[in-house]
Amino acid sequence: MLIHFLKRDFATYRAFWVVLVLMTLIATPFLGSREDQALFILAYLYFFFAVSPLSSLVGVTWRSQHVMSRNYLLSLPVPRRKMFRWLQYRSYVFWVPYLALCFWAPLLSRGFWRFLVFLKLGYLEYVSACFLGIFWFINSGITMQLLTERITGYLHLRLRFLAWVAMVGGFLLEIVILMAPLAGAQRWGLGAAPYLALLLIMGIGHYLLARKLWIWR
Amino acid sequence: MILRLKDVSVQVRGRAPILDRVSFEAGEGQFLAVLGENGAGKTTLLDLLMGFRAPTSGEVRVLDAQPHLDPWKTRSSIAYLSEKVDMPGDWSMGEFLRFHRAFYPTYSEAREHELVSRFKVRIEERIGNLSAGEIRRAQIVAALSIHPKLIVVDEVTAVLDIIGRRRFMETLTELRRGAGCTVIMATNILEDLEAHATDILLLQGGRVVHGSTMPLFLDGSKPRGFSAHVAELLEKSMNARA
Repeated sequence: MLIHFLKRDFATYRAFWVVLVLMTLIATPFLGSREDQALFILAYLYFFFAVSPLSSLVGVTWRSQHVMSRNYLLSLPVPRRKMFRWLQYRSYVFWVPYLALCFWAPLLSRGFWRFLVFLKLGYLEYVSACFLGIFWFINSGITMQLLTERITGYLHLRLRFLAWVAMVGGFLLEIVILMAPLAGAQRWGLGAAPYLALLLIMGIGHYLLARKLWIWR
Repeated sequence: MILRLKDVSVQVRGRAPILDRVSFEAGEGQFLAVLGENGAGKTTLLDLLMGFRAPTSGEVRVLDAQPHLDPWKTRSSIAYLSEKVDMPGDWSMGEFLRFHRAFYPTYSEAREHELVSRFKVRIEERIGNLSAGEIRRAQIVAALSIHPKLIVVDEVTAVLDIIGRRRFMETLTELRRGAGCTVIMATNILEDLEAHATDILLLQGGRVVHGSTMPLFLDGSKPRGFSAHVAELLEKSMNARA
């Protein structure tokens, strides 16, 4: 059944995949050049490609009446936790190009490699951080989508506004918390392990919250 | 019993209860119409039956299972039709039906073809190009092709045209009489209910203010008529609460 969903996702986003492949083919000869422009362009492209289908995968209808709504997905005869796991896998598929670029980036760009050395991050630690970062980002995205849907249902404008400010504030605080160890890595010589642990904890926190919000209205 | 609610309440902390000690039962072949003002708790009641919400207190049983504990196997016998069910606009109706049927072992393509022609669903058309009524017709086809034991309907008749609505109500009655399906329908459209529903449940402010069989209700409604009697009961209950 997961394959059933993946086939549908691929059919829906076929045009996007084609554009992505074409852009990759065009940019490939320029990868490894001194300015790293092709690398940055591909990184932006892959990132926006990965982020764009999220509302459609989650099934929130506050933005569009034409996504497969969560009500429909949850009414299907499939265990809900399994459906949520499928949602994770389906989201990861769109991150595959970005993740692949992350793996190659230090090898393609000397500047990027120097940046990792500056942060005292080994390649393995860097790859782990990429995986965990995407895990955090996907679940943070699902949480924000579902919270926004919930907030739009609040009756009072003041309450809606406060809830929205709290949600965005919380997200920005998380960004600060995630960036702080990076900024301090050089100055205080923090190791990668605490940073990876932090990413993991925040990712799991969002995963649990997203699952709860997804299953219950 | 196909569905049974006993003293069920739903409440969000610090607010008035959405449902307050609601109890009722429905057996095989019953058609239960749930009526009430906007905000009376009709959709919440159906959300409980589908397991979208958990009750704050009380017991909900649907097809001998508690829906909020996710007994997914029973859902293959439930046809769910709701205004909150949406589909991707870039799919064709045929693609949606192909997608849907893969989840239901009891899905009948023969039944699907019959319903497609009965509801005049344009299979090749993209969903985004169709009206809300046409989309609902396709959902009806998908939902009723699974040979359900229970049909849960939440306000879908409002967007159907006169012919669509009549065909839908007739199909529900056929399934009820022929296959013993149980139907629970929340609606604000009273037209045709007298002819098709077997039981009626009136909700007001989350409470059941009236529950009876349709013949009994119709007896009590003379000579004012069905709609006037429903409105009168709801207003009486509202005034009593005030």
